[in-house]
Amino acid sequence: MEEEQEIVSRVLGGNLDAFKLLVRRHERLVTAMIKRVVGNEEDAEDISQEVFIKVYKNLAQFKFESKLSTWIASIAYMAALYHVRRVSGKAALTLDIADFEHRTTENPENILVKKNASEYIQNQISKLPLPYRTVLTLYHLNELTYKEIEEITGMPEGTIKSYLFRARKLLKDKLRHYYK
Amino acid sequence: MESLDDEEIQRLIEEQLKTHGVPDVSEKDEDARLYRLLFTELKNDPANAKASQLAERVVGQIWLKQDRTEQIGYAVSIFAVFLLISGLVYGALVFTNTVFTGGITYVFVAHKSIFIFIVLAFCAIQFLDRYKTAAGKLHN
Repeated sequence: MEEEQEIVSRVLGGNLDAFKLLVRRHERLVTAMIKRVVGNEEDAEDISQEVFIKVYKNLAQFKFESKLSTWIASIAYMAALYHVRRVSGKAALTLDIADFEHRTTENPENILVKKNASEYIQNQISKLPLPYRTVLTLYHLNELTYKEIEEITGMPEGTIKSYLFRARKLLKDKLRHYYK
Repeated sequence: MESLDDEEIQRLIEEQLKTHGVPDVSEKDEDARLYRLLFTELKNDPANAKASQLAERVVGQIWLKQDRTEQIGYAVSIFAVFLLISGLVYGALVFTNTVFTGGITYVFVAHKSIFIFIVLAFCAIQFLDRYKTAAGKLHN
């Protein structure tokens, strides 16, 4: 925390090398989440860049009431949601799992990714409803706590736990199909 | 009952992966095996495999934006200083020598396009010089 404060004060003093360090430390958190939420690598890169520019512009407003990573992640989450809403409409933010559950595993795309279990899982994650893949990414990939995920997404802890459980179960069922 | 079993398996595997402990869930259990594979894969980020220059790109963007603002300020101030000096010189000439000033005014009016060109060229050279220096710094 003290080191974070030191970096932030150096950035606020105009040190761009300190900001470069800050970006490198939080790059994985931001890009992984945005990529999972947006689902398009090129868009995710552009949004990540915009997020860090926003972080730079608003850093003076950060008062260390939460962890810096949580603050940055919430900016990234909002930017990603805004992008999805703009590109795909509000429907993309819903929890429609019926399509995911009943989608046949034998379409040409799935046959292709079936060659590799890892690729298959990543592919299935990308098809989960947005709230599911967001909590999965923040919890497993970014290793954030329920409390931190709550701060970032605004979802209650109970909802986060429920989404996590259901998302893992859906993916496990898909994996069972994969190995049949 | 199935969802309760899944919940229990998820909890046990998560605990085991966190503590790197001995599996409490039988490897013969198909669900446990699938969950273990899934939990391991959930930690993988395929996007992270390729090297990213995000920090460099972000800082480059910030630097360019800052420099652009500075450049505009610099060009405006150069132009203002140029106008001020020209005004002061002209004012001094008007005050000291009316005949000479009349001649100067005539030359200015007759060749105004040349004088405008000199002012604009001066500003452009200053601007390009700063831009070149800025681009050099960015690439280093």
